[in-house]
This record gives sequence, C-alpha cells and structure tokens, in this order.
Amino acid sequence: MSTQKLEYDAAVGGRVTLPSHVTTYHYAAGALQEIRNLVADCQETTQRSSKLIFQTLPKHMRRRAMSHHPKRLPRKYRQAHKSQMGKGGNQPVSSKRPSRKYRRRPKNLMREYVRRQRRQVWLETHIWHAKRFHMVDRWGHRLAYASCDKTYRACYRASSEHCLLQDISFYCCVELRGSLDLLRKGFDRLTSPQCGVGITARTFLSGRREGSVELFKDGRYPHGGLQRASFMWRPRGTEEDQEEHTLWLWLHPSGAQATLEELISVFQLKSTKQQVLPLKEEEEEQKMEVESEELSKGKQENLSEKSQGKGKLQQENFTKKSSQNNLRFWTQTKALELQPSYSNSENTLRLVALQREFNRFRLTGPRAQRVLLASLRPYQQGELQDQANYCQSALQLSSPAELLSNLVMGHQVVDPRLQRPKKRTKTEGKAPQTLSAGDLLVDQPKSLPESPLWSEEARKRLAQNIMSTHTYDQLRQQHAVVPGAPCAFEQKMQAVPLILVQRPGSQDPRYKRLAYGSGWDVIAPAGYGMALWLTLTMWGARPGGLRELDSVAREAGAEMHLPDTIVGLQQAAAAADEHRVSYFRMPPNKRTNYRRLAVVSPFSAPWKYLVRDWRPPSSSASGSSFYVLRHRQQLEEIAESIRQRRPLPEPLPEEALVQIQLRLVSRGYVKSNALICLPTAVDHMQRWRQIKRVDQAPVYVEPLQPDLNEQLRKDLRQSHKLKLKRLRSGRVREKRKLQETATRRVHIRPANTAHLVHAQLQQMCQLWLPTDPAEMRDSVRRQCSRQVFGYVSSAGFSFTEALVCAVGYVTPAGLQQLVGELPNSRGHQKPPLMCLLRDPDSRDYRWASFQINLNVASPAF
Amino acid sequence: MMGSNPPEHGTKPRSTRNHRQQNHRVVRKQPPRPAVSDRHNIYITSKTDFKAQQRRCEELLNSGAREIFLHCMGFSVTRGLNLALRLVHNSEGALSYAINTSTIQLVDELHPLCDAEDITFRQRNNSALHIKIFNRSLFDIVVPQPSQSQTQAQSLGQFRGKPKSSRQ
Repeated sequence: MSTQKLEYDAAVGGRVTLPSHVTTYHYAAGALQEIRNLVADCQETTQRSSKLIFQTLPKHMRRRAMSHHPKRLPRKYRQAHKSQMGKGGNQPVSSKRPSRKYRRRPKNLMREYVRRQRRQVWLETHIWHAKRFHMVDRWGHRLAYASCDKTYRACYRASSEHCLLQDISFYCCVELRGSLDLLRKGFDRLTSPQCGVGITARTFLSGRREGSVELFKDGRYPHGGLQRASFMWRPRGTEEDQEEHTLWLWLHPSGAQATLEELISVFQLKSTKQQVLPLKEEEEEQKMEVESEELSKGKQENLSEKSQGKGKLQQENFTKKSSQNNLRFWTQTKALELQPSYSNSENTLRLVALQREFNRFRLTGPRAQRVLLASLRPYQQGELQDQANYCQSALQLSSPAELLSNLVMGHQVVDPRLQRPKKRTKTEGKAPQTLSAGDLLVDQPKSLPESPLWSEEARKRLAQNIMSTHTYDQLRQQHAVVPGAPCAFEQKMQAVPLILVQRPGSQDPRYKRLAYGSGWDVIAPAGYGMALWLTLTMWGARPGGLRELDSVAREAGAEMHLPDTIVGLQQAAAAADEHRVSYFRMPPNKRTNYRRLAVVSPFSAPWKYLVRDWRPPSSSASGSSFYVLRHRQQLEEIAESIRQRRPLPEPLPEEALVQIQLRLVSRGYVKSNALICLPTAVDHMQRWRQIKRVDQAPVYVEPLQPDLNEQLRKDLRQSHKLKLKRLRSGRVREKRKLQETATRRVHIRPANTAHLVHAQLQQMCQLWLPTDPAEMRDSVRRQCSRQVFGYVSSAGFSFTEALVCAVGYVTPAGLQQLVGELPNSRGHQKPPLMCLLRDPDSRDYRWASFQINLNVASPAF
Repeated sequence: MMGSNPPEHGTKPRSTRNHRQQNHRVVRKQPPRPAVSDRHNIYITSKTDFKAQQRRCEELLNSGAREIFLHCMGFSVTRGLNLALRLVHNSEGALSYAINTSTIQLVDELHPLCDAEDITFRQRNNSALHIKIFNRSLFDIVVPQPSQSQTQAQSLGQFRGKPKSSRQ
C-alpha cells in the first residue's frame, strides 16, 4: 500500500490494486487524522469562519487563482465569495460590461430604466431631457438643471420675447374633498389673513382663478413657514348641489412631506391603507366561500384573488361574535397604494396625494400664445363649445398678460401628436380677432374652468385609451398614403383634456417691465407628457431647466422660496455646503481670506444672528428665530413711512426680516450672501464729491484686517509636517532593527496616520474661516467698519434692467436707523434712499437703491 | 433711475390718486396693446435710455425709411415730444413731423384684500400721442392724413415693397 501510488479517482487513474490486508494501527492513525481535520474544519467554519469560501473547499475542487476569478468556484458559492471579497476591499475581477447590443434590447433597457428609477423619480420627459440637459438630483427627483448648450441668454430672450418652456411636473398635487366649513376651519389654522386673501376667498372659490397661499405650521404664524402653495377649486356645476368641495393643492416636493403631515394632523386624518370595516351579510358569505376555497386550494387561490383584488390583500378577522346578529369586522390592507389617501373618522373629509397623475408645463413669454394656439386644436365633438371658442380667441391675443390674472381655462384638444409641423418652426402669422381684449378680460363663460381632469374615472379612462406612439406610427404606416397627410383613424383618437392656468407676470411697472414673466401653465393628464412636450418644442418653444426657474424669478424681482420656509432653508444649507467644499478645494494662495476682509459668514446668510444683533437690548425675548414679514398692512406702513422719510411705526417687529429689491446704482457686481450695510455721513459726503468728479470708484474700501490666525496656521502646518516626519523615522528605525535579526527582507510598517491628517485638516479649516457668529453678540452687525443690517439672498445681472439687481432681506430696526441717518434734504428734493452693498469676496462698498417688496406672499411670476 | 437721461418735467404718474381705495385693493395694470408691431412703429417708454431711442430712430431714418411713427402714452408723452423735436432739430431741416392725439382705453384689475369680495375692474382712459416723422423731400410731399389708422396702413403698404435707398 505504501509503495503503490494511487490516484484519487479510480476512473481517472487507471487500474487500482487493493491490498489484501490493512494494518489496523495504520488505518486507525489515518482515521484519527481525518477526524481531527473534520472537527477543526467544523469549529472553524461555525465559530470563527476566518476561512474564505474557496479555502473551505475540499482539495480536489480547488482551482488555480480561484480568489481572483469567481467563475472557478462552484455556482452556489459564488455570491458568498463575491461579498466576502468585496468586504476585504479587493474586488474580484469585474465582470465585463455586456455588449451594447445586449444592453439596448428593449427588455434589458426597460429593466435598467426601472432600476435607475428606484432611487430618484423620473418625470415623463426624463429621457428627452437626459439627452440634452445636465441632470441633477433634487427633491427625490432627477431633474434637468440647464441645457448642455450655452443657452442662458437665449432663455432670457425666450422668456421676454418668445416662449420659454419648462417641465415642472415635480410639483405634487394633493386633492382635498370635504365641506367648505371644514376646509375653511382647517386652513385658518395653517394660514393667516394678514398675508393676503385666504384659500376660501370668493374670487377663487368659483374655480375661475388659481390662487396661492403661504402655509405655516399649525398656529405658529408668523414662525414655522412651510411653503407657498398654489391651489385651485373644482368648478361647481349647476346640477350638483352637494356640500362637497374639491380642492387641488400644488406643493413643492421639498416641503411636500412636511406639509402633508401638517394637513393630516390639522384635519385629523388617518391613512386608509389599513381599515377595519364592518362585514355585511352577503359579503360575509362570499368571504366564507373564498376562505373555504383558500383552505382547499391553498396558495394558488390566494394568488388569483390577489390579481382580482388589484393588489389588495384581504384578511379576515373575527373580532366580535354576538349571539343574535353576528357583527363581524374585517381588516382591509392595501399592499401598495399608488396614491396614498387619508380620511377623517367620519369620512367627511378625504385627502388624496395625486402622485404622477399630471404633467405641468410652464410656458413663459408673450409668444406662448402663438405656440399654444398652433399646438392645441379644439376637439370639435365636445359639448363645451363656448369654452373652446373662448380659449381660441384668448390665445389669439398678443400677450397672455391681457387676460384675467391667474385665469383657469379647461380646454379639450385633439391629440397633440396630430398638430406637429414637419420641421421645427417658429409660429408666425396673426389670426383676425373676433372678440376685443377688454371683453375677454371682463367676462368669461361660466363653463370655462370645467374639465374632465377633475374626475377620477375620466382620468382612468384616459389613461387606458391612450394610443401608444408605437401603435400610432404603425397605423400611420399602414394608412397614410401620402406622407404627412391626415388619416381617417386619427379622427377617432380620444380628446385630451387640458387645464391652462394664466400667470400674470410682474405687476409693478415702476420697478420692472409690466408683465415680464407672464405665460401659461399647462396641466396635462399622465401619459401625454411626451406627446405634448414634443409638439410644443416643435412649434418653437425653447426648453429650459431648473436654472431658468430661478433666473426668471430673479429677473422679475422676486424669490421662488423665502428663506424661512422649509425649501428655502434646505436650499441655503445645500448652497453653503457647496460653497464651502469648493472653497477648500482651492489651493491656499487662491482662497479668499475672509478674516482679512472682515466677513463673518461667507457661505450663508446668518439670519438668526442678524436678528439677534438688531434686537433692542431692553427686550426680554432671547429666542434665536426669524421670519420674513408677510403682513401686508405692516409692510405698507413701513414702505409709506420710508417713502416720506419718517421714522417707522412703532413697535417694530423684532424677529422679522423685510424683503427689499435692490439695484446697484453704477458699477460693481454682487453675488448671493452680499452684505447690506448702513452708510455713514462720510459716505454721503463722498457721494456728492464723486458725482461732481464723475468718479466711478467704490464709495468706501474696507481696510484690510489683520489675520491673527496666519501665524497659527503656519506653525500648525510646520508642526504637523514635523510630526509626520518623526513618526516615519521611528518606523524606519524599527524596520532597521528588525532587519538586523531577520533572515528575510523586512518591510516598513504601514503609516496609519489617516486620523492625524484628518484632524489636522479639520483644525486648518477652522483656522481659515472666521469665528462662528453664534459665539459673540454683535458679531454680525458690527463685523466690518459699516454696520450690517441685511443680507442679499439672490443676485445677478438683470437683462431687463441692464443693471445688477438683487433681492435681499433687512431688519426693520436697521431700516429705522437708515432713515434716521439720511442727510438733510437739499432744496425741496428728498434725499435718495440708498444703502451700501458689499460682496463677500470684495472690499468695495457700492451704492444701491432699494424699495420694499409688498407682494412677498404672492409674487407675480 | 434714469441713468444719464435728462430730468423730465411734465405729467407725473399719479400713484396715489385714490388713496383710500388702494388700501383695500391691489391694482394690477394690463399692458397696453401694440397697434402695429413693425420696425417703423416705435413705442416710447420712460425707462429706455433716451440716447438709445434717438440713435435707433436716426438709424432707421438713415437706412432709407421715409417715415417713422413714435407712439407714446401717459408719462412718456413728454419724452416722445422731446425725442421728436430733437430728431427734427438735428436733421437740419430734412425732417418734419405731424402729430395726432388719441385716447386709449385701459382696463385695470382691482384685486381685493379680504376674502368676501370678488375681483373688480376699472376702466380708465389715458392720453396718447402718435408722432409721424417724415422726410421733407421736395418731390414727394406726403400730406398727413386726418385718421391715424389710414395713414399707417398706407405707409405700411408703401414701405413693404420699396425702401428708399438714399436720403437727401
């Protein structure tokens, strides 16, 4: 036995000779060794499992370079092996990317799309945008930021002269149904009458106009701003006299969750995902049958029932059983709710979040009229004839601003795919007017806002009967004899109900061009997004992204999101992070030294501390909160007294910020987070001197402050370098010592100084930036040689004004001081109302004139 | 905010006409409708730089236009007149002008500030001026028509085909 060499496998190894006898102690020794190995293996795999998967394989199953290539393992171990190797940081060889042909197969492509949509929601026009736009992750969506082409100025021109098109379908629509009293009471707690007209105002209740309200947390006005929400009421026909009113709220996705929670708590709603319902007699029998079947057939039946009940898993609970009438309850649980719905305990008020039910496209600019007129042809067989007539003549006007502001129009149109030009063209030509603009403005037909989009059944029917683009193309291939000519089957395609909402544009002719930013919002049912989008772009509308939302708002002299709302706070935090990261990415000699420029908070506007510093010392309140003043009457009083250069009405709201619109008088440029400062008497003198000499230099230059941290930073850097060097030399010494005694070559120990380097970076960052304004009182107000009484939140060059314009917020106490310190009037003219602006990256103070924005709560764009 | 523009005297925008009414309602003005949008019809605003407007008109006239129309309304009437006079003065007798006045009807929206009221409308009139500036050539004397619209239509019909190449 010991002399003969045996193969493992008899079939491979050829002839095997078995010995005639075996020595027992040899056999026992072998068996003992085997048992030992077996026990050791068991212990290792169960207790420590320090072995890798391929190490546990028996010897004859091991292959060369097994750890490198998972395919050399048996299939059942591959997954575990991959995850093990992944944890260790050394990835096994990456599997080759499948070929493009494989990836582009429809099934695989769709699977990939579904996978990519798991984390971020896509809009219907996503793929179109993804090919042409820079996409960003915002608010749980993947949205188009700006075009890959250079279109900044082109988009401005489109919004002022032509037509700018944006997809804002990410706004989430929430439907509320209930009695008017209930709704009014609830919204009284969430809004304030001081901000403007409420949600149940007469002008909106008929459904003729869309309105917008500022929502706050329950009873916490003026603090706790949630967001601005636009809303529209369902128009009430004459025949239905029921008590129920329906309301659509359009919420921004960033604050939508918080707002929904607030609505749920105010109206005392409960989710209808799980409901306990009383079981009726006949239903009960059915249930019993189902149950018995279930018992007999088991899981198969359960599956079929699932498919019947459209994903509703129904379970039966026998909770009560009285002797006479067996009252039973069953719990209904919906496994998947596409549209989460809530209702209150008496079921008098219901809330449904209509997710992904509508597309909302925003058209801005006077030519939006022509684009819409060309792409929307009224559906002839509809019964709403006067509605169609009105829409047609309204769209023939030269500008959308000539109609009633925030007008809501229902419009039944033929499928937008039928209305495309052969080539992308600008719409030209002007149709003759049938009705004068004044008539169109003053009276609308009663049925104008009505639309089938309001009813759930109609929406379902619409979604079912959409002709897919593929079918449409195939039908055209079959039927169209002449290319481009209309076909017979196109007559039978279903009508598409749309809702058009007018936006009036800017309304302060003394500040901005009248009706800049006017246009239409088109609300289309789900599924028609791409069809409508393509038609609109084919008629010459210029597509824009999220950047254009901000730039149009800035051109109109307003802000999309106020800084005390959820959206505003989130945006400011994100922008601050971004600024900070890009600041520290620069080499030290390219970084602006904000300590030397005496700028306390370069990356974000410290509203809290600004308000704290301007609070009178006598006041007892010490809370560090702020809010934007939306109280219309107070704003008007402040604006009036400033206009007459009188002291402001007492008492001043302490924690409030007043929104102002600024414009630089001559030169200079400011970005967001610029400082708004109070001019001194010297500055006013200097102004006259400069006017006399036609001098365009800045009125005052901030002297450079000494940076006390500079030496500290140098020392820290030196000591850090030295420390690292010392550590390394220690390791080298250690290695040498080991090498003396060792026979093999000894390698140096790894450094493991990552934590040291990280701590050093943190400390360095702290030394670079100015001290946090939270630490010291008056650190914001008196940060530089002029007193700071406000901050700019958005700024840029405005093409409408050909000037640098900005929107900022100031404290009322600062305004008070500004008005008090104005120089005496020369002659009969009042002294001009101006303040100083300084960019955080610059030392130059420049003059800026400003005015108070009264329409904070309901901006015009 | 007029930048380099000279200060103007004349009608001021009446912002506080109905002071009491304004406290209850917010006025939203409709932009006036352009009658004809064409290169030869220039609508004067009080915001555009005066020099820029003047240059624009001069370039139009130099490029062969026989006549241009300046339309101005309300506050910008004085500015329109200034512009017309400046153009005529600078032309050393080559240009002349004719003026028509008219009244333009405007509709304002009055938005309520309390929940119980609905939106209302206010009709108001504003005075407008239509200034025709034309080349006073010896050979084709254009007699100013009494009605503005007719003149415009005629002039448009004339100009679409043959812009005059040289100016005397």
